[in-house]
Amino acid sequence: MEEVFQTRIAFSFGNVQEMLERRYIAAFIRVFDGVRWYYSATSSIDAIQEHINRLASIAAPSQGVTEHPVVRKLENHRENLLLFSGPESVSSRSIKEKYDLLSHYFPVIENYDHIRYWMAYYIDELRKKHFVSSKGANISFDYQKIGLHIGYEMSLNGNQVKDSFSYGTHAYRDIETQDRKFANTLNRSVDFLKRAKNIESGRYPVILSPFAAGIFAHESFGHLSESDTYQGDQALKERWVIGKQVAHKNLSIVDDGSILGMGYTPFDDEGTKSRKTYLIRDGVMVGRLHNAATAVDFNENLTGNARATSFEYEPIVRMTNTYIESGKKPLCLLIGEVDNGFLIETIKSGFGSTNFTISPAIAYRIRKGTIAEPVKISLLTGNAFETLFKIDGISDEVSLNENPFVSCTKRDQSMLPIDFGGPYVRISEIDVVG
Amino acid sequence: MIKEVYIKTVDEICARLRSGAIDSTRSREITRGSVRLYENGKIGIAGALGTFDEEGLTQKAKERLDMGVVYTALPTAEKREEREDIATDMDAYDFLWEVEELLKEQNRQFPEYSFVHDIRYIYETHHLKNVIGLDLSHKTRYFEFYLTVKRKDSENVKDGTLSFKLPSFDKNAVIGALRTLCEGLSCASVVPEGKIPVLFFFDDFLYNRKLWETLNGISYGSGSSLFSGKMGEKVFSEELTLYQSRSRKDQFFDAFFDMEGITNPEDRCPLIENGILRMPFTDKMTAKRFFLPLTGAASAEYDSVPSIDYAHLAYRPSDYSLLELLRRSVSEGEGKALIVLQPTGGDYSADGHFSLRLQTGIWYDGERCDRPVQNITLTADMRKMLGDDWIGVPKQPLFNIPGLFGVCFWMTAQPRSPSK
Repeated sequence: MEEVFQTRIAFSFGNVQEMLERRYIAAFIRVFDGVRWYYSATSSIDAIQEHINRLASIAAPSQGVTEHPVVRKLENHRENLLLFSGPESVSSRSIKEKYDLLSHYFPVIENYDHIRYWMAYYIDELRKKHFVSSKGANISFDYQKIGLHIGYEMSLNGNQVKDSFSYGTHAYRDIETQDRKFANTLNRSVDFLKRAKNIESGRYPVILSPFAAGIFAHESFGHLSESDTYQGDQALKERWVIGKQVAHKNLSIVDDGSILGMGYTPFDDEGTKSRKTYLIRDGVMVGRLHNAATAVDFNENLTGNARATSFEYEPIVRMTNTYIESGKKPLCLLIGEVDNGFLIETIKSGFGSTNFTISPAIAYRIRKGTIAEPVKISLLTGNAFETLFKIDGISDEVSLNENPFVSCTKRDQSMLPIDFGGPYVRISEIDVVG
Repeated sequence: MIKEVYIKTVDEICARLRSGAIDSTRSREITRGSVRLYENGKIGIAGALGTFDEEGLTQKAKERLDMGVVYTALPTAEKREEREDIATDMDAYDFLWEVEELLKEQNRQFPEYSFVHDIRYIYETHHLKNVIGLDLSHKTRYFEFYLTVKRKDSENVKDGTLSFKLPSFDKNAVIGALRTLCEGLSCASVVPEGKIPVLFFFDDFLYNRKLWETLNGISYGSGSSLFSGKMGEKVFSEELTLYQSRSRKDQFFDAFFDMEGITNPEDRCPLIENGILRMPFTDKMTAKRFFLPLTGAASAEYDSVPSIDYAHLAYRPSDYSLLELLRRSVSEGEGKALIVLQPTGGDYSADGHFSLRLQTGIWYDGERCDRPVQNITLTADMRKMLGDDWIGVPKQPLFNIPGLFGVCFWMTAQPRSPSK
């Protein structure tokens, strides 16, 4: 069962466009008969038993189902892990207070020239989950996020730039003023608008910011690590074996739902406790992400990655907080070693499968070891498996994106909260399309 | 004060197919509803998931009128229509039986391929009414197919996806589409270079993204669209007609009215007609703010304020086959276009330059597929794609799926960039 409280405030064209507060309780039920799962979602809590009965009537009777490997694999925790109740709950704050938090930034943006239009959003969400199973699991936990987002479009002499400023945290006590960071973002956009140059498409060395590196980790290898991607696919199973060198030896990628990022998942939606899972360690594939069915299929341990976007969907294998571990080089050295390449500061979107693409928003030329003019790049793209071997430099500090407006889509489940991050990462050569 | 009520119900069963069997089934029964109150240029909305308590929600909506959410447009009045688009009375058991039959046929005909499919059987009701004579209701039942195909020996996670909706469970249509696709994927791949004809599914998200941005009434009205100020001008190919559509003929199976109760004749509103930009798509507030025609492109969650969102766009098919369109476009050529089957991302620069990474494409002559194409980058300029580089919309839908039309342009294929 999930009990959800959400707020959304939208402001544009000088007016409040939305002041939404939403509360609901709903449930997802599943039954396993040893052959397949039968799922049901309902917005009527009173009907849970009715749904269980109906699913049971469709499923085949199975006396030995409790000994089925998938059922045996499921963990059986009894724990209460509510972090955001009482005054820390966003549901205890007035919508007026939330609006004031957002409107604090309006004078900042209103002082800028070249802005065609802007829109500001405040969101928060408190999601309490209560998980019980016929094996005896009984878990309560919660997740909370608070976020501000101001998106804007600037134009000057036919040039345009779309950019945004976002800020996220988990509790009101942690909220910090972002005036300076917001102003820096706006100044960066103005600079981009005035000075950005076109580039010639080609293969270049590229340095990804922690934000861009996180997207790269998520898209290039994260999705490939979701074991349901190739469950039942012998060709891919043979290719992606544990112990295989899949990346440059300096690269390690981790997924960890237990840390309080935007992908915080203390227990997954099968009741498995979250843990730190190395996907790549020193360039070697050492793990992948599982739900109970895939863990049995691959004969590997659970990882706590069975996640559903909401009560309407079944848990499938998803990432949580995915990041690249730090390296040893300071950023200045990473940049200093590039003769002709690019620094990707922010991105608009990313997609991944066998190939991946990243669409940069703000990027800069690196010329003879120095950051030069901003540049317009429409796409970075490459084969995920080849590119992982081309990471030849990693900086020494890691940060998570912590943007509650970023989410992940897989199959029919969109808007799943995730987080990603890393250090600055240098790729020796990648296709850059201008 | 004007009171409006919106209620939507969804009753869905989804079968997930993997490794030649039904892996899981999922049913959803969800009711969402809201009460909207309009007064003095403000709107108050209260919604609920599950039980719909109109009196309680009306009280909450009254309280929310004080929150100052601006909505100066007038609610739609004096419009009544009740519609049922239901072509099947299949129950859940019949549906699963049909899915099993499809599975058997697929496993028998295509043993060299593996498939992961999500097939949904959906029944939805939408009802929007108010106290000034608006009363629109729609009951719709349809099947949604999301088909993923992969050669068993392929190192790709997937080689191709097909996504479409049908009013009835047409097993033969689905098997026919899979056969066309699998026959093509079984051929040796080729590497094209230079300018080639490229065929997108008409609803391709990556390609359509810029079209959505440029035809969005806010972008247009605020001057940031590539086509701002060009309403009434011929800025596209003569043969290009584009609708904002809520028609089943265009693979749109949702309600025939938008979230502000706006409808269009034959469920379509022309945005571009024979190359002339007629209007951007708008909701009421955008139309009012920028003095633009109202097209009915308001979207909303059940409990949120209606506002402009992505409109479902559909091209008017031409009177020509793909082969004929290609012959009209160029005297030489193979009479085939490359279908964008499995893109892995793409984007537009601010000035309209489009780049797309294509993991798998497949050559198509309008009936058959042959020779896949792997790992290339396609580039084009959006204005040229809709102008000089426009080839057209073949009269036959892709893979013979009703309403699944393709749109064809010249694009530049770049297998691999030179090192700098």
